[in-house]
Amino acid sequence: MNDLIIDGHRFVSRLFMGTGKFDSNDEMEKSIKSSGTELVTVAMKRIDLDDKDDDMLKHIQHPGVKLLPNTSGVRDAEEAIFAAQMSREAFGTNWLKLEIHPDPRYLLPDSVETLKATEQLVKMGFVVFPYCQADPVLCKRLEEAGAATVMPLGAPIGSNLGLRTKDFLRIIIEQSNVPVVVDAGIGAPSQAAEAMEMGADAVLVNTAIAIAENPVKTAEAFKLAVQAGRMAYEAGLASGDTSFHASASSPLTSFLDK
Amino acid sequence: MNVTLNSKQYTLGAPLTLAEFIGKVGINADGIAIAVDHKVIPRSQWNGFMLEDGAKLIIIRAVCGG
Repeated sequence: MNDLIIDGHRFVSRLFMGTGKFDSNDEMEKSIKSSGTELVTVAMKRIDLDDKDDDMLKHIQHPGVKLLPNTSGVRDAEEAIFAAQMSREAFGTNWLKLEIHPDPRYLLPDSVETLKATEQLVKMGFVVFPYCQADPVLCKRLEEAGAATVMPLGAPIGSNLGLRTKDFLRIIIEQSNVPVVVDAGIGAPSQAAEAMEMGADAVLVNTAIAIAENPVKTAEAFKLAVQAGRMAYEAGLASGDTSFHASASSPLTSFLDK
Repeated sequence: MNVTLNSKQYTLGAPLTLAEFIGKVGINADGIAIAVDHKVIPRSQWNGFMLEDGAKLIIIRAVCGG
């Protein structure tokens, strides 16, 4: 299968993994291993001097596993830029999963602030992975702003609802010149496989693995599903082509033309 | 003099550098980032950076997340 290349870094695995919600660091570490992932996300928090077991990094820093720090917790572009600078300093990487979701109920990304932050962070030398709405127009704008990938959501974070945005993901995949990573909402290996069959370049999975009864085994199931889906896509799966077009319901007159 | 770290106040008997302060408080310097008065201070400057009275420090480290 073809490797995925992002900012010159070659990935054999197209399964990216989040590290939240595991019962223990030990279980998380084993799940990372069984998933075969080469890119894992971490969040940041203010240190707690009373918590002696405060260091989770040692559980994920393994050869062949790259860190993707996120900006979870920020509410706008300005906060995201501060978080990005802290992240670069703490983790020694300019890779950044940009996530700006001010609404705690649905955790939906703020498109305006995300685009604004992407434009600035790219200029500051960051390799930006923006978590975003499954909005094809926005994804093009993020690409033009210099994002290394786009990460449209399948469904709200942690919902396990699957690819609710499927039709829009198809358009994004068709139009994108940067890797498309389907992030958020993937609740089962079959859904990860479906995203890959559609031509997604990678998927990011966290909750579905972390809260499964057996996370280590579930991580392996996702690994196999992502491989199968990618293989089917590269094999030119016949049912993979379900292209459609919009049909205007208003006249597209050029009334603003001079 | 007083400084605050992540909203908690510390009283220092004598002026300290940033590196001396985190050593005194007992923070493992691996995998952390420090901002003083909302400005990120690169690790290479911790040794020479003198904390001033009223300085507000934010120190972060990694935590599990998606």
